[in-house]
Amino acid sequence: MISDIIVVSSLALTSMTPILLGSVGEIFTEKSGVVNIGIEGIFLLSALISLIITFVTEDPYLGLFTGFLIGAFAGFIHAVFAVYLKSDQIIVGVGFNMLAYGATVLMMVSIWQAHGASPTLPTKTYVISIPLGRDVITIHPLSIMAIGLAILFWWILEKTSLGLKIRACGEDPKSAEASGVNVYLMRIIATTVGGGLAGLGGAFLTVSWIGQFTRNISAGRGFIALANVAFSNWNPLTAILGALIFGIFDVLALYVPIKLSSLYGIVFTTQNNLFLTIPYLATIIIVMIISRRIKMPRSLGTPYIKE
Amino acid sequence: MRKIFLEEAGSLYQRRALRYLLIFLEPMTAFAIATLINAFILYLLRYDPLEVYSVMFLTGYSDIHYLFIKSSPYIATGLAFSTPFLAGIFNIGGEGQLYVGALTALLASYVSRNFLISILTGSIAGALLSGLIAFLRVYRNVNEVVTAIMLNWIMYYITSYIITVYIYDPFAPYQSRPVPREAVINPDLMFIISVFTALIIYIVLFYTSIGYMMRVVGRSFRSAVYSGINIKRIMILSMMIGGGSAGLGGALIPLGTSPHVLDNTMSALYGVGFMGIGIGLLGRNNPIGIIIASIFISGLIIGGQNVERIIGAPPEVVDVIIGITIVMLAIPYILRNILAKRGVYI
Repeated sequence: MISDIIVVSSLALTSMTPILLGSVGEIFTEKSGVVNIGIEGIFLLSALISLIITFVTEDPYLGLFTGFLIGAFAGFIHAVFAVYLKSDQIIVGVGFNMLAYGATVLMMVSIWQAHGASPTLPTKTYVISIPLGRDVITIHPLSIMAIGLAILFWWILEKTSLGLKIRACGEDPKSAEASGVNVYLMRIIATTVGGGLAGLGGAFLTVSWIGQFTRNISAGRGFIALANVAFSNWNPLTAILGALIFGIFDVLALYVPIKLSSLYGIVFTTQNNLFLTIPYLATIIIVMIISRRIKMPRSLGTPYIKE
Repeated sequence: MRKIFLEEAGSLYQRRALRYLLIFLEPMTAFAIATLINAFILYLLRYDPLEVYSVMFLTGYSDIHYLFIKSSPYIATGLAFSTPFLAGIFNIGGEGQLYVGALTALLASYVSRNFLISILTGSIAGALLSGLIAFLRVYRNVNEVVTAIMLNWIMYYITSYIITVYIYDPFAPYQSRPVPREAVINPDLMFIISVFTALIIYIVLFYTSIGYMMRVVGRSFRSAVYSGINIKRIMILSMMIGGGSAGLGGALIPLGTSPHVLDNTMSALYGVGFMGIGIGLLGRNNPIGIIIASIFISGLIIGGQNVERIIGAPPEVVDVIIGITIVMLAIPYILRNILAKRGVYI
């Protein structure tokens, strides 16, 4: 029992990482007043492109960095649409997700002639392995780094003047502009950096964790990250806890059937699909429970028009 | 910013004509930009864009009869997005509503052996699922985008589970037993049912008080509050009409298209719900526009399947094009802004 808890929580530390990076990026973005629901698409694109870079250069860390750049680029494009072209930000996000899904399948087929999954990476990023009884616990340094980044972005948002400016743009852009803050610039910076964090999370999926790209690899994690933003009430520190909870349910989807079959000797084949609904059901229930008390940035999702 | 200049842009009729022209020009401009960007992506991936497009556009629209049949479920999912959108609520759960509609219609067809009962069951199931999304949004303030995507995944796995565990075909365990012969419908009837649904929704939206209230809620929340409209009920109702439409689209697929089964990866259904978003936006959220947009996009999808067969590029090329089109359509009034800079206000 105790070993189960340790194993599940160590696995959750891995599965929470993309969710945490995505949520912290989205919190940073949304605090400036821009909503980017294209995290799912950023996950997909950076997961695939960072994998390609790792295959070519055989350097997974360069892959991670490329993932960050891809996410930042996507965030920047989203910011241009949201800030300068005054687009409907939800629709841009939906379109981007569809584009990213199509483009990743297109790339996968044209590069590897593979329709379902890419080849597996020979060298992933470094993992810390701790032997514990019969099990070996693996911890990715990036998981620890993601928690550090969450704390760093909390500090930026709450304790620095840049954070104050960004928050002002999300609450009341008119007053922010009147007090000399460049609303457009702040929103572009926040959305770009936020996209970059999500991109890092996407790269983590392939380069550190799974080692290969499969069609729709993010499997709704981008939206779970969005749910976590609401869960955290736009606080990066609470987002750590939220990501851990969502990460645990992500692990349970695979862990429960394996554990049940080892305990009772039942072999799950087609019934596995039922367990796979666990993270999504849990997300709806968690968001439902906490949704009453949330307080989002007041100007979220509305374009700012200079007078 | 947006002023109305009566004199500058000619007579009332000229301006009205220009406005109708823009209804077509704006989506077509967005689509043209999307095909250009996609051509660049194809070029980078070492496909010949001209070859891909010539196969896509020449073969996609060659069989008009098949084109119309193919477009039927897309009309339904387009309506599933646009009806709630007009009332200011965002339904990207069309995919899950489509799955649940297809599954319940299939189950109902085993029991009832009647296509009408099956279709109704599918619609009701879709409406209930979307009603849940709207209920959570309206009464518990849960973001409808998150709930909808989560429900899409849940329905995907549950449908797959039910197909492979309870209703599998003993000779092909990865798929369901086929629809009983008595409940199978003629493919032509699929198109007629979809168009009929679109027309009914058109009448409801533009010629009834409920439709008027929906559009007021979507246009101006504040006006709706002041005029005493029950916003919560209207939002849930619009969402349920949308979900019912998606459920209907799902029901039509196993009932009307051969081999009248569902398989464990939902290959006949996958993506039809998501494509509804693009269709709704391309059709300018107007049921008549949605019929036209569905036929247009169905041609692309048929063409995309031929591209895979002939050139080897995956049919997801269509997703790239439509994805970029959606992004472009999110820019409000592209052409209107350009015209406004030249001094033409409409």
